[in-house]
Amino acid sequence: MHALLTLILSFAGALACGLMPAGRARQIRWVALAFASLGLLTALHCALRYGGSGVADEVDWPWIPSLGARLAFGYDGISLPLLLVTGLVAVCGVLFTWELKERANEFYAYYFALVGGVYGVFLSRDLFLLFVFYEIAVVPKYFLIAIWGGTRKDYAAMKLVLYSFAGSALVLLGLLGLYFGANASTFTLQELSQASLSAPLQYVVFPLLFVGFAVLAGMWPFHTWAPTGHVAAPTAASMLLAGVVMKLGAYGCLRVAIGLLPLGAKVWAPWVAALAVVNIVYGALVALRQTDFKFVIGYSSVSHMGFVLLGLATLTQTGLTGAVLQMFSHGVIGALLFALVGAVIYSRTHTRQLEEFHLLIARMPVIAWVFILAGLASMGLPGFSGFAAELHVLMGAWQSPWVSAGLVVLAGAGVVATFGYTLVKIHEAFFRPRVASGSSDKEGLYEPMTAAEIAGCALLLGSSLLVGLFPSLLTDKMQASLKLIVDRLNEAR
Amino acid sequence: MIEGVAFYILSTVAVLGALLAVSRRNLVHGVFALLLFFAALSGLFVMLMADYVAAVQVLVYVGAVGILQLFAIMLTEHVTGDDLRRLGARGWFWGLMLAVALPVVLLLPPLLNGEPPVPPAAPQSTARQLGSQLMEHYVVPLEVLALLLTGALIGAVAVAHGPEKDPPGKDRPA
Amino acid sequence: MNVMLYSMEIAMVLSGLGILMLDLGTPARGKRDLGYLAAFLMSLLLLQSVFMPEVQDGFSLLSSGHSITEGPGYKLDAFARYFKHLFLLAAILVLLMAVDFAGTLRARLAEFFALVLFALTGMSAAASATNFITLFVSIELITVSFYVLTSFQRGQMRSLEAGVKYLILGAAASAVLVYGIALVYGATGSMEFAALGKACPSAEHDHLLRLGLLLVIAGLGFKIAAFPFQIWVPDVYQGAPAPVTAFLAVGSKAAGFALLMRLCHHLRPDLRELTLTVLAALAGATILYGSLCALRQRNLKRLFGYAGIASAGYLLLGLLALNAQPGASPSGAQGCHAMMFYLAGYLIAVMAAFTVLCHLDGEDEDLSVLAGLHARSPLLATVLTLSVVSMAGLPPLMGFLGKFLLLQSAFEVLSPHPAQLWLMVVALGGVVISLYYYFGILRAIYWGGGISPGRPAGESEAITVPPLARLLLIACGLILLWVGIFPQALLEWLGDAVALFR
Repeated sequence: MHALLTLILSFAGALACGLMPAGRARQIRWVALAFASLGLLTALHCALRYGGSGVADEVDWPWIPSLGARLAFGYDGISLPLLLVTGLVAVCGVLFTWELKERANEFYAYYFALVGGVYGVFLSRDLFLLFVFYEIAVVPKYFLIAIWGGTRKDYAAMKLVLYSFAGSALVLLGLLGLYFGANASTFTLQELSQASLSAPLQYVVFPLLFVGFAVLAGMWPFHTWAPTGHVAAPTAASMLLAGVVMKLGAYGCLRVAIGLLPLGAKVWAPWVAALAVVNIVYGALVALRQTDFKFVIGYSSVSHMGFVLLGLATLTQTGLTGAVLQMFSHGVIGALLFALVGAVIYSRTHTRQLEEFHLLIARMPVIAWVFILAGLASMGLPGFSGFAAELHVLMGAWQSPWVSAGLVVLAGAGVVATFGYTLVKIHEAFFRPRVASGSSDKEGLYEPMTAAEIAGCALLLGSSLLVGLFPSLLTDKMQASLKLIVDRLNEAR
Repeated sequence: MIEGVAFYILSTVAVLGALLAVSRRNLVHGVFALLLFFAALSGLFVMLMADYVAAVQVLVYVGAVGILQLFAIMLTEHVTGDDLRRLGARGWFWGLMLAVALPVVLLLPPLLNGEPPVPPAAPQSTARQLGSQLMEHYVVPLEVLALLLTGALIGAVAVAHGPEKDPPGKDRPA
Repeated sequence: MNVMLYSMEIAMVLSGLGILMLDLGTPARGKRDLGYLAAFLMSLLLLQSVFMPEVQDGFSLLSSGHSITEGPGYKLDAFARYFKHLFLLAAILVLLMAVDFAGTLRARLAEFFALVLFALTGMSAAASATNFITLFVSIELITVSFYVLTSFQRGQMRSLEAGVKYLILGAAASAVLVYGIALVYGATGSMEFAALGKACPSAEHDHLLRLGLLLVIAGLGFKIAAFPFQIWVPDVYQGAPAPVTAFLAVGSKAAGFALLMRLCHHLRPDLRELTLTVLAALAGATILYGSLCALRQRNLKRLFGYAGIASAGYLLLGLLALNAQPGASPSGAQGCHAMMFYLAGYLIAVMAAFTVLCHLDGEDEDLSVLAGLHARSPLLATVLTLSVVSMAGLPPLMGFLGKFLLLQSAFEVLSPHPAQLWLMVVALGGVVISLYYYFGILRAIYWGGGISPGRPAGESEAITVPPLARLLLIACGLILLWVGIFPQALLEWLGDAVALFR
């Protein structure tokens, strides 16, 4: 199946769900599941077919010749893991919102519009096209949070939109600088990567592009949209936000900023590394202080994205491999954690305050154990994808001339902090008697997981385990594409 | 010398007339002040050797327009303007500032530069030239102006008349 | 003289006069049909002009043996044609909107339709103007028609207030314009725009020319609602009947820009330096002012007014490109391209939004009238969403590419002067700010139930939209989407229109 099918299926799904009458929630969710699963199957098929080097499924149609923008699609080893994670999260998002009844048609229309935008970014081989898809995602995000969201949804939705759009404004400025700097009247990645860009230009444009994209990746100090946004969003949307949308930013940083501006990257890499380590440590420490379960996960996302950014800052083959692997890994695990906290546990306890939970391990044993597994995966236990990813990142950082040893040690301390808060929070959530009085968490056993929830958990946890046990499944595919970037970095001077 | 004195007298009269026209609450007084302004203006045109424009100024503005305005005002109810409510008008200070700043900006550089540009010799009679220009080169703008007047007239009637009342059984109300 | 050169304007005037004649014999009940008739005639004219432009050439061939595209002070080139098409399209939509709005308008309809056509004639002439006389009379025709149109709802205090404000400020702007024209004439001795490209006899003349030019820009700045000349906008937009506001927002603004584009095209290199600085300052201030003032607006028409001010600022960015030095890498064509594309997208978005407004009940156009719109009429909600998102400049709608092209052209002009790049930052900041108020509208549509406690969302009855309006709204929405995704056809068409500026 052609990779473009993911994109087409998503927008077709948006249209189909949007046009169905709102009352038929049952039919709508089956249609949604069908479209999402087909998307995942397409992504899987692409992964199996991908030869390990070059750009596959390339299409290149003229679009706006006067601008030099083309409808150029295709995927390589870097896009591939991200396509997979998008497909996975999209399917699981539908599974975990199985009970949604309110305005279901609109919900899935925006949901699929967002998914389509994300697929579009990962498939674009043209910078203008990439930017268009990047922007398409703004409106659905806003609607998903602001209509179906929870805590302070108006505030969170507006904050998310303004932050991501401010980031886009920087990206746009960088894009124009790149376009006129290259002086080639083209936006295709292929031609832009061959254009010779002067060093001063790269020094100026790189921070614009990198910071612009990194806003969406949750880089400190521009991360504040992420926890509030994730908490306010409905479960499926926070899964997408944490699992995929944050990766859009990281992907942009890698593909556009680092991929096209090697000289700029080399100059700015130490700064990026420093900020990334702040992300790791700061996210972990703040997560430790949270009492709302969803905020814990929100800040843990910020911490994990720090590893992605650190991996990018290493500018080495190993580090970049780790970064992409961490994007996949956090996409899967972050989505799972948000699903467990936002849907599975919350729908039973009706509270997310940790001090109101009462010995949940005894009252929802299966769910508790699934969460513990997910938590272990999140803190990077060997056997799960997070381990392989963080190992690659730290090894890359150690080798990298752009990341000082002190930072690596600090990042290592961040890993320890991650262990700390994960274990503390697992204890507080499941093994601790109620602390607060007047809790809405009632006594007695909770109902077991539904079939949809089991399927979703199995899918996400399984893929994390699979990649954790056999990381070469993904890393082999991305080596050639990353090597292109690393070679350009080494050649540029 | 005489010309200078005449110019300053006429301009002072014109400015005073314009100020009075906008500041009087009584509309009849306002129109008379406006007529004074028109008259002074036509005097200024005469000084500029624009004989035709000066004549038109007297005939059309002092004569026709002024009289029409007087008619219109006499036929309305509130002439003295004492019982009208005011529409909110703020920012008179900035308006005043702008009014002072504009002439300063416009006049200061030429004054500082000394010699003003030498005016070309005035033509003997402007009426013929104006006429032929309007009828040949500028005939389309002239037509557009005619349309403008038609539109203004229609609009004035439409607004003044108010909405059509359609009482049942009658096709056209009076 | 070749009359066929003016055939479009003549057709417009004749239609307007015809409507007034027919009005005499039309019973009160049938007055609305006159609006349909006017819209129909204008559609015919639009179709003829788009698909058979050679008809005019053919006639002129018959009469004079060769095709004439130029008269004194008047030029019928591709540029003018494009703007005429825009104005015709706007007028058609406004007329149809006014027919639906007739119940609220409570005024003499035939005169209303005729005045819309007269204003259209003025815009159409403005698109072709190549000397200051044509510029002035066409601007005045537009303005005088709008004086009347804004105060058409005589029964409403607010409409009258709008009319008076527009009249006084408009007259002041015309005075400034005329004064500027007089100074330019005094300096160059010619009324033609082309004279702006020649050197003046002396330094004093040159000083006069510069002052005159600034005053002309100020006078036109009133029409396009650029920053220091925008004070009339919110009150007039709010007070005028909705169709008039839409026409004012689109037609009057586009006419002002068409004139500015022609004017800037003829400027001498050293004058370009001057206008570049002035326009950059105007653009920055206009964008900031419009965006910041719109933030706190609750009245939809005022909000669109402020948003319109901001978009005038973005359009001024395109005008900057026209003032680049000739021979520099960006030709003015790029900026014009961007402006004309943006104007087309803006036209459709504004028309769609105001058509939706006409169908909402509620006298005051407060944001709360949108509450629960998504449940009361999904069509209106969807079209308003599309138009608002397009104005906000998000893909894949027309507004995105328009803004992108404008920013791109401005960036290209400004990049040789790094000190001027602050303008880009201001412009992008304005885009980010604008999202706040545009998304505020979306918020009111989709979950604004809490805003008006008296009328919870979804409980009000559904809104019925007449079939023709429904068709138009769907068409507007589809155009915004389709041209946004596949802009090449429109861009190529524009290629001819901007050939002038290459």
